[in-house]
Amino acid sequence: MEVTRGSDKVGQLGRAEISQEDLDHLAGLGEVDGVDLVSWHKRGTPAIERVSGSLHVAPSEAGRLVDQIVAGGVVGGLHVFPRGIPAVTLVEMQFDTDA
Amino acid sequence: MSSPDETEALDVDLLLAAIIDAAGEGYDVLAVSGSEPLLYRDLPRLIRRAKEVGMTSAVTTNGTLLDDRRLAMIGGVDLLAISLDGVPASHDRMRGARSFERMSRRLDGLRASGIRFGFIFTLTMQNLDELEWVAEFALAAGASLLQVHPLELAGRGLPLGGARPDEEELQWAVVEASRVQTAVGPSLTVHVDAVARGSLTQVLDRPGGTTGFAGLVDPLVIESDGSITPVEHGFDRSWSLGSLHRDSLATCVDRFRTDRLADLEEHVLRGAAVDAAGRDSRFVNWHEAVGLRARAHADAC
Repeated sequence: MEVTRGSDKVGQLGRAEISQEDLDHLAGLGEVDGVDLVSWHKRGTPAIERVSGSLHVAPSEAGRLVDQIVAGGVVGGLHVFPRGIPAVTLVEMQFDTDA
Repeated sequence: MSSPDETEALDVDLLLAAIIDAAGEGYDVLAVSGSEPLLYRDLPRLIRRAKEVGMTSAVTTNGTLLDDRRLAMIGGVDLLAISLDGVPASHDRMRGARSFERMSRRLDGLRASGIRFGFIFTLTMQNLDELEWVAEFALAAGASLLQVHPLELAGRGLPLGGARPDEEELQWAVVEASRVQTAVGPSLTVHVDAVARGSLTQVLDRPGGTTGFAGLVDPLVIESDGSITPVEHGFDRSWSLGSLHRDSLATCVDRFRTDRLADLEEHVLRGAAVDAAGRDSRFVNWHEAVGLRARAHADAC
């Protein structure tokens, strides 16, 4: 009998191939100092096909994180939203492996 | 001091002496778990002794027996950890009908006692989606810690091997715990018992013999039959340091340091780190990896 993973039940979206290496890279994003992972979704059983989510990061860390995400080559779409008026106090990033 | 199968109580004098010896070796935490520690009448003496020798103390309980009398009894404990296996239906499925209700009705008294407490959530292959609910429950209850502990092949996990989370699920658990941490804020610390693979270079790069005994063999486990084993309950008995029924903890440690410590460091700890470094997963259940490596090495010998 096929086991339904708990992580499959957390969130589901879209489709597209994603490798173990990609997953490894995405898992590391939430481990970066100053980065808060706000949401994440994955789809694909048994192979993971797509992952999307959003991160909150301090403005001072945003550039470095964008570089890291782009360097990983996993994320097809990355949207960056500076938050705070008049000064930016938080940067929200929405990522999607299949955008 | 741990055993999920505990049916007998060790003589308290043996344990009190062992705590002094352990402190002398550099151990600074006393953790009492297995079966139900609140039924052990000498538990308060162990907690007091730990404090006397400068250790912090933690007790893991199912929480159902936390009445005013027992709370007063363990008032000196530094952290009380309550097992919580998911949403109420999941918890009751694991621990018996009405277990969640019997535990949760004790939480008001526990909070009023002022004892710092947290919950331990056992991660299986199927229950990561319950972590958010558990975190919100823990936060509302006034807990300061939520520990996510993967079900392991050793010890209690053996009969439930199919439910053990694989490396991919462990990785997602770290991701989900990070998200949940963001959601609940800093009042509750969400911690996953997983080690980042990159940090294992500390084990690989360290010259042999440069770390003290407590730094290498951590934790040191006293099983319910008095035997002393490294790292976790259920660790391969061929690596046992000895028995409190025959020798003091200090004697067992001295003998192990001379006869086996180099083997443990080279073949088990460094071996497990090499194994982990060669795998894809970013995170490793380190204690389980060490336990499996110890068993494999013992079988090979």
